[in-house]
Amino acid sequence: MGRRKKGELIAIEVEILGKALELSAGGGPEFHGFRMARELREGDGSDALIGHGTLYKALSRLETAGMLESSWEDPDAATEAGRPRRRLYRITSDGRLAAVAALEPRLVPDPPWHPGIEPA
Amino acid sequence: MTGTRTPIAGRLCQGWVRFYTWKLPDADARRRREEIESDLFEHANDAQLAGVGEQRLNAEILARVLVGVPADLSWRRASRQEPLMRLAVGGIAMSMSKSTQHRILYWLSGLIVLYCSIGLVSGIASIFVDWDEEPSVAAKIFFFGVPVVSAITLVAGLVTQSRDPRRGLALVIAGAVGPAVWFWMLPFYAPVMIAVIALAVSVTPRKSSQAAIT
Repeated sequence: MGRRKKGELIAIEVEILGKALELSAGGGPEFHGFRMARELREGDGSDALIGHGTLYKALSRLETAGMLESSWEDPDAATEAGRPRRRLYRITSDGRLAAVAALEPRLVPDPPWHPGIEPA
Repeated sequence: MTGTRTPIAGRLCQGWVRFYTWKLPDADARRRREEIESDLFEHANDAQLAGVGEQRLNAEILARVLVGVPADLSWRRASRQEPLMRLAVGGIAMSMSKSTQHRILYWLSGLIVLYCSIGLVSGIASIFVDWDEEPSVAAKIFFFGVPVVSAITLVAGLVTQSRDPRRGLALVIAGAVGPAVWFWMLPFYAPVMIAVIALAVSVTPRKSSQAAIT
């Protein structure tokens, strides 16, 4: 397996950006780590949740690249809800552009198939 | 939501996070620990709401930890700090003489062999057990056979180390890692496994010093 080029997104990062884009379009732009893990599981229809290390490393890389931004939620809100405070992530405008660029090829439909012509 | 208890795999996960964030810059380490803390809580809470049992929750958390280990280690490396094993080896090398390291390595290896013998005894005993649901042959080989083979590999590694240090080291590491198949015992076994690997690495001469000797 070759070393990835600088700025190149790997599959899991593209998936995270795609989900972040969907959440943002759905009116809930902020998400925490476990929420993303659940979204990814539902997205690929599997039973398994993504590994902690894989998820948080990818989130950290996307944040360093300026495609996500994050902040801790208000500690009072967390205390009131009786849970540890959440780190909340949002997609940035750079992240949107990168997500659209990375996901675009998947959105283009396959060329129509003509009888007698073997698909390449 | 209150009253969500951290399951045993969650505590294991917290231990692992404390381990790989050890000696990282405080801000990075604290952030990762708090994020995992929150993730574990949300996971347990989600499972409780979905009526998922504790056993399955433990299995899910454990799977997430194991699958994420390579990423955890590479994240740690990317933070431009000393790799954990080098730190452990460095600490051992500085604090003990080589003969003490050898002695502790043999004692701990003896403990591992003893621990693996449980696999042999359980394997033989399992022949006479009247199972409610007979485990598959593959499961029996995996859980009873791997620790036994590991013990043999570990001893072979220790014996080989004086003649062929690199091969000996590889065998010791393989032998020490094998018994981790009893994943439910990992909280107790992991410190011994890490100590044996770190000691074995520390007592193995570097290539350059080997060349100088020969």
